[in-house]
Amino acid sequence: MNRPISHPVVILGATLEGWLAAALLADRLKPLGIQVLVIPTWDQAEAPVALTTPPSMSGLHQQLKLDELDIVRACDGSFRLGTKLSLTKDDQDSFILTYGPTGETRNGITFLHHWLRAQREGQVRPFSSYNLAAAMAVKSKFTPAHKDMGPYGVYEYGLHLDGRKYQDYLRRCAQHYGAMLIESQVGNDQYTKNRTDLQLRLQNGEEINYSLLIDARGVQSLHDLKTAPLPGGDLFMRDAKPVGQLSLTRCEGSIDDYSVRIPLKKISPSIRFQRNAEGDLETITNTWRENPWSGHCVAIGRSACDLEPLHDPFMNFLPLELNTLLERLPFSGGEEWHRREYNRVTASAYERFADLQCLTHLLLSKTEEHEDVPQNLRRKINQFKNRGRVVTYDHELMTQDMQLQLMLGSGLVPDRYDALADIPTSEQLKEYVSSTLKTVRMIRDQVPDQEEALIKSGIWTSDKAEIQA
Amino acid sequence: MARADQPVDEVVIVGGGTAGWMTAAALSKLIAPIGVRITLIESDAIGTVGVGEATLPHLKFFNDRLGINETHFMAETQATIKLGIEFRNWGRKDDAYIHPFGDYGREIAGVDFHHYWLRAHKEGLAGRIDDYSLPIQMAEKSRFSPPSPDPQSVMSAFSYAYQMDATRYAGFLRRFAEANGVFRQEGKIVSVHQDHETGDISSVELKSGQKIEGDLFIDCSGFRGLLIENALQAGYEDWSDVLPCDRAIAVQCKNMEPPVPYTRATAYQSGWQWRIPLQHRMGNGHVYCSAYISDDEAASLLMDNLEGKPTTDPRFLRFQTGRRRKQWDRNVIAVGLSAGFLEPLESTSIYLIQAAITNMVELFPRQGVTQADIDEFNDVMNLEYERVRDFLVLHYHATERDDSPFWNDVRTMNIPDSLRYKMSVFENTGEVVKYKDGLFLDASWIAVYLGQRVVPHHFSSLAKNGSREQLGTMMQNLKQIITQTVDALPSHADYLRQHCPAAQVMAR
Repeated sequence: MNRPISHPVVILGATLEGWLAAALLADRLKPLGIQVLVIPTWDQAEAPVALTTPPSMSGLHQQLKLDELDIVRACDGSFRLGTKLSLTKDDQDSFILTYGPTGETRNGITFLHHWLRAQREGQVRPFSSYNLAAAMAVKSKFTPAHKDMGPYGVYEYGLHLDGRKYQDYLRRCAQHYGAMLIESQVGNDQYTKNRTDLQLRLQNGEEINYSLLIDARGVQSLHDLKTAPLPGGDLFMRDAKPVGQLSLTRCEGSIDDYSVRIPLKKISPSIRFQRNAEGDLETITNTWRENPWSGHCVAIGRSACDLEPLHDPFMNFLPLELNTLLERLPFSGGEEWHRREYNRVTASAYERFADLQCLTHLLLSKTEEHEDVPQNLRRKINQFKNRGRVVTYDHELMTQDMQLQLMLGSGLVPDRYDALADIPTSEQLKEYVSSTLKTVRMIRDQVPDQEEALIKSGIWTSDKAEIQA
Repeated sequence: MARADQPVDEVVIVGGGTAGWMTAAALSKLIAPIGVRITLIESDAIGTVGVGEATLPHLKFFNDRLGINETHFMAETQATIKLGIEFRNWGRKDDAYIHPFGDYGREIAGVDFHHYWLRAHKEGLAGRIDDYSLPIQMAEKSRFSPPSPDPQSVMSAFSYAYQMDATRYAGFLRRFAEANGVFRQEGKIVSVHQDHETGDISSVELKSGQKIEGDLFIDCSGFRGLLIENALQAGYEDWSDVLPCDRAIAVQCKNMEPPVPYTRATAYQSGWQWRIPLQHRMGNGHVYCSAYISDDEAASLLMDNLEGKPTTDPRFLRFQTGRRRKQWDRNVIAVGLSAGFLEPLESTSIYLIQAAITNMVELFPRQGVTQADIDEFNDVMNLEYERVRDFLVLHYHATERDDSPFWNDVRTMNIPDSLRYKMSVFENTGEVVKYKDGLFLDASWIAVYLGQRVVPHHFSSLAKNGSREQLGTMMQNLKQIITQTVDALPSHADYLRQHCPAAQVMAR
């Protein structure tokens, strides 16, 4: 039975995802006379020390009319062009994943195939050398893509942010749009069971009616779970000294014990994940809700999906979850089918993401036998190995370009390249590959250093200015 | 034969016709430059089906990739412009709608236009949704001008396809392919030889006794699947439980009026009739289910409905809807009717040929055939066929017709779960279920749903934003912009005369 839409939408958990949802929902629903309430809970998750956002978060920021320069300023953040993965013993095996293509397509053949042929002929540098975003990131440079870059100006970017400051920023944004914080918490026995038709009673005795409850506590529930192929582990967060390469997130260690380092202004907090460790902070279960929307309750963020931090699932899922939800609100009927479609899309995205984490694990651990690997992953591996073909599926959040960089960077070298790449002569190929490198370097050299640009534009204050202040 | 370590130097295409010559033309342009020789075997004594006179907009990309000049192509194939397909009598008798190659209205504040239309229609502020589609209005008024590349222009919201003489298209591509080095071998194949060890096809033998050897064989032999089925027995998956029509009759007639820029599919008691206007003649056909109507009755119905004098004798075709279980098996790739058959209701025959060619080129086994190539091709093509199947089944199942046993059967038949889910989501929310790799996009599904009375019980609440007056004004303005734009365009006939006049020929 549908509930009156005049009842408020209640967000359980004054968390980062809770405030982001509150801001978007208040912006959407307040003009329609529907209140958005945020209720803290005793068990709500803390904000991460630091976080990375994918390019898809820009869409949500635009919806909220937020200026990303202002977000970076307020959250001591920086712009990120990709992630450097150093997850094997040999530093030579490090590689970079960016949100942009490598080289350009020529004669209908993507750059990869020309590069593979050139590699066999001994004429090339590492694949990422031909990726403009990677080239800029390595030199700690940043600028948004623009038309003057020609075919290379198509990369995207994300942000590095202080998680606590970003959560506070989102809180202010949500309240600006009219979301209301309820000071009293919900009693701790109110939502631990089946939340399908939960009666919400606050500690002060007040009962809250709602049309939709959004579980944004950041705490994984214990039922209706699907498990990823990889076992979970523990998270440890700590502040750390700054590292270079401001435009790059760094993921270092081994595939079963790695740290994600996020360069912010002055510090680079580190999030360490240890698989199967006896942890003392936060346990990652590597599970997700098969039906994150059940009854009148939708779980989002960490309440819906609890995957390890590799490739940053948390911030990748939020735009998908919230956009899929926003398309449907407020209900005018058909709630059951909205629910089914939401669950189909999100649960599929969770599963695909866990698969990509598993793929990364397989590739980096150099597992030769792929017998137990799910069929869809085996197809990805076989097709790339066979001829460099990147197979993608519905609801995958990692771009095709990024998956290509992942497989190649992990050492999975295609046995063959497209035969059409044999058409140019060796001289023509050499000229094409070297001109690509020259163009990438020329554009890169014109781009400013990110730290200098942030200080020059006043987004970051310099040490000198801070002392004066 | 070719295995993983044996390069493909010789490609043999078995069969001409649309599939054979499209394959030959594409390979001659895209694969021959890497040193692959291409031979096409066909016999003048064996006729071709001439599949797919009506096409989808994708054909333009195919021609463009081959560097084919559009004006030249249209003139050579007596082609007209196609902006969509008109469906008559499908939801109910006397219903009519056009499935356009373009969008309805424009998204407003992140909400798809059809939600606003649903509200406006409910409140009596809007008539047909067709009034808010530029390609439909162009089709109905028989006007045309190419789309604008400016995304801000109202003229950017559509694409177009062609209605053409498929036999002439095959001939046109034959000249193109031969000019690019394809060798055409005249002859009838009487036997197929397989390698004793591997089971691969090693050669085909002609009636003359000549043997043609090859490393890779493309089976374009039509329904019979000379190599893929007769020799390799790849198997066939029968879909006649959901697409029960199994016969067709084709006949050409004279044009009685200037050709219109759309195809028409009119439903009758036990099937449907196509009408495809070309520059020099009209293509007609009746697709029907032999369990409910005899061949003679079907032929009479078709001939009675012709608008002009017939210029050919009726040709009878038999088919079984479905797909080959393995469209690539060993060193044989099936393309066209040998790969499967889905009736021409949405003009997908040439598209499916094109999809097979595109994937074949991407996976071309120059250095030798691998199982990974075979598996990938089959996975991709299986998905193509399944998604087209669902869309076709929708046309039969989403009907209120109960005036014949045929319609009672298809209206109440079991449909694939994938389609049932899509229909339920639309009926209950107004949302179109989205997939990454679907041939038909949102506007296509909306056209058929609404055109066949699958009307959502609900629509997006955000479409309720704004007053009744604001909504009425918005709908009125949009309709007016589209009307004014279309009225300023040249007629379709004038466009053809000015840009791609075909030679005056006697209708065949």
